[in-house]
Amino acid sequence: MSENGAMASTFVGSVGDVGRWQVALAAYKSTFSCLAPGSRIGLVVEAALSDAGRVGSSMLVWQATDQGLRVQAGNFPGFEQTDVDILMVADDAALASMNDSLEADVLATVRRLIRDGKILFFARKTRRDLDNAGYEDLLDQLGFAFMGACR
Amino acid sequence: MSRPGEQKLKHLFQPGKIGKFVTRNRIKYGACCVSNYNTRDGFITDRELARTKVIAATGCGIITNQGAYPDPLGEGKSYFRQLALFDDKFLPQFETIAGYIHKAGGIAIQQILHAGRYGGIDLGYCVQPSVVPQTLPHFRPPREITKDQIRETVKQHAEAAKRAVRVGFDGTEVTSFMGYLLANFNSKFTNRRTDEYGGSIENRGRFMRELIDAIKQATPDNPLSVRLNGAELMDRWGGNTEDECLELMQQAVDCGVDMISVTVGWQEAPDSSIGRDIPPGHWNYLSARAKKLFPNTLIAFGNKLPDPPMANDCIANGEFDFWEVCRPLLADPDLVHKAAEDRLDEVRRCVGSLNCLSRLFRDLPYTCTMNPALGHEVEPEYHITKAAVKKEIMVIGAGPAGMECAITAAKRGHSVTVYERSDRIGGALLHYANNDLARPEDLLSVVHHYELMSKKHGVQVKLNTEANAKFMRSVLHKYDVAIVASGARVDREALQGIPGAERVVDAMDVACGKVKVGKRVVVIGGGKIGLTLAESLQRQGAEVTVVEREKRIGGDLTPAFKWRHSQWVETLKIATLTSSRVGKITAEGVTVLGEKEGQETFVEADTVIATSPRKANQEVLHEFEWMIDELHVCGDAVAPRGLDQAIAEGYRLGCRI
Repeated sequence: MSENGAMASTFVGSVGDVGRWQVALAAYKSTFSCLAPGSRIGLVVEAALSDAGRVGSSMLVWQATDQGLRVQAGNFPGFEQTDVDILMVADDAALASMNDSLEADVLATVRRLIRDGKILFFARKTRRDLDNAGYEDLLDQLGFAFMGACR
Repeated sequence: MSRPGEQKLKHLFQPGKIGKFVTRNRIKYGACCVSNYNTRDGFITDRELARTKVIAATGCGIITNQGAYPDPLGEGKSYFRQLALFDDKFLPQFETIAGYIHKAGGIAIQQILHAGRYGGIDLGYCVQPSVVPQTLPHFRPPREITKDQIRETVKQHAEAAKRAVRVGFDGTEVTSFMGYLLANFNSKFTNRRTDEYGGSIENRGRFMRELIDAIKQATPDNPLSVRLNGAELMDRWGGNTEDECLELMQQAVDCGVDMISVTVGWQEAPDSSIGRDIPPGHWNYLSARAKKLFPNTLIAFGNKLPDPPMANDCIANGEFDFWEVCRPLLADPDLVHKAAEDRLDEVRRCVGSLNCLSRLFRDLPYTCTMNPALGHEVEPEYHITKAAVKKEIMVIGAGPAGMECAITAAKRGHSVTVYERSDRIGGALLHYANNDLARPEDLLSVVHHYELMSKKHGVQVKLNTEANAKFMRSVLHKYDVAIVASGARVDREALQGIPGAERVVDAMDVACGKVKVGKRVVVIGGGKIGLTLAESLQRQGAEVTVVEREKRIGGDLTPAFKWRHSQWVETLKIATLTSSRVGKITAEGVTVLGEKEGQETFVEADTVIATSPRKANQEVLHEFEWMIDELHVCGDAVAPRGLDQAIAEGYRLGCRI
């Protein structure tokens, strides 16, 4: 079972293949090793924002556990209900790019897509809480404008 | 209009009118930055009052006092030391401020700022029309505002406006821009409500219209200005288009606002709007569009518009009615007077370092790179006063620290001579400014300023003169004071353990063009100097690799410029090796060692440039100790840091001697 009781599936709507993501992210063991167990990062397609709460509005969740990063699938319940720390929202083209690069350097692709505005990034915890949960290195690697004041 | 500059810039210096009030010119001091100088519970401090006295005296026709939050809970409070206006207990200091502004001949406007999405700084949450999580984790997690709260918020704004007017403010301003509460309602990005306050643009603008109506009813004889985005720069996030922004302005106009202040960008916008990388005048088209659509409503504008002549032309061309200016007046509070007196060459320009804004995001009071007295107006130690004893002062080094100190000391009546070993004023700044990827002319303006002001204040500058011990013997007893402002250099001794270190060239030699680099370059050090050089060289066609010991590049950059440099490094495809150090240098290239045992990378290189570690040039200190009465040191010669500290320390020392 995964978030909101939805059954984990191999292929999560249009987000992608859980197994392939699991293998891809395993290559970044050191990047994710700083995350406190229980830390969760969600990835949804843009359309899910308007579909929030409906069965099938799929979200891929990267969850830090004592055994390492675990990729799960679930339902995106909307901004208010979701319990991920960081939420990435990708458009269809961005999702395709990520899926194409799962066997290569996928985080580099994610970084580029964030920079290009193809992946939107929401934080559901404050900076201090994210720091305490060990996110600093990961967010830096993803090119997140962590401190703001970009103007 | 009796002063010569007023004739030249006659459109800017012509009187204006807002509501029933006549303004002496078309310049509005914009409340662009909250100072963070006040108490944690919202009371205005003596520090703030002293600062505001300076603002009042800037010569602007309208002075907008910085935004006060209107609610007792602090949901609208965005900055740690923001001032409050939810109760009469805060009023005595507001009355003082209105008095300062009137005494100086200005029209006093009080801004009311409910920060919405960026608020609740002490509460652990913020309120918004809908729950849309933050894109910047500096801000607090959101809660949806209820209809009862909407009604209460409207009431609080109206009461705050009434209070301001009661103690002497001539009008008020509300903040429907930048991602604050009103803007959150206006924007498609943050307003996903399904009731009468969400959905269509008519519904999204309802809260703003109700708020304007309430303030107009509460203060019917006093003008109301609304700050509205001409562009949110949040398009990628589903925010409003520029056309929708104009539609919202139309709603405000229809409600009878007296002035629309057009602004650009949200705090979290992913694009630059006011930094050094945006050319002056870039956003003027937004106000021109607004003015064309709303010819009968006053339009104020000033984003990235730092120059009075450009503002004058815009007014002449009907692009806006009032030049709204803030940051250039932080850098030089005398800007308007200098323009009026035709002394624009003396203006200390804002260099767009965004130190002001960056510090607010660290919950610190704002400061200014170019104005070291900013925020210290209340402290006599920061005032330029006549020296009790006139001294003969020598300054060693004509970089920013030395020149700032020299000019400040000369203003106080001292006799000052600067000795500089190179052939020009500016020190390291001169050369690194030329390599700046943003706008070299901004940083170079600092150098030009020192060149001009040293002449105007009678500072003697002796170039091509190295002040060593032999030289000091030649001028023995001529000076009462020596200031060592000789900067810093690459610490070559620290590199000696590296085989092939003799091949390393000094960053400064490359920056000033003394050393020409090859096609393939390795830069040791990914701090601001290393990145500036790397970006410049890569742009010129070199293939650059940056080697940095720390986990990340840009560790010594302000948050605003860390983001920019990261982007430039990526755009220019500059290779970076972090958590790495140089193991060996040969004619073929550099062996770079990673953190782990045996982790090695070979990078082909024709030129290896060291930018770090750096050490202060303090050698002369010891030698001079018994040669002069007073010996001081400032700037990078104390410890290598950068422009902010160089100017600040030079100024402080100049005030003290």
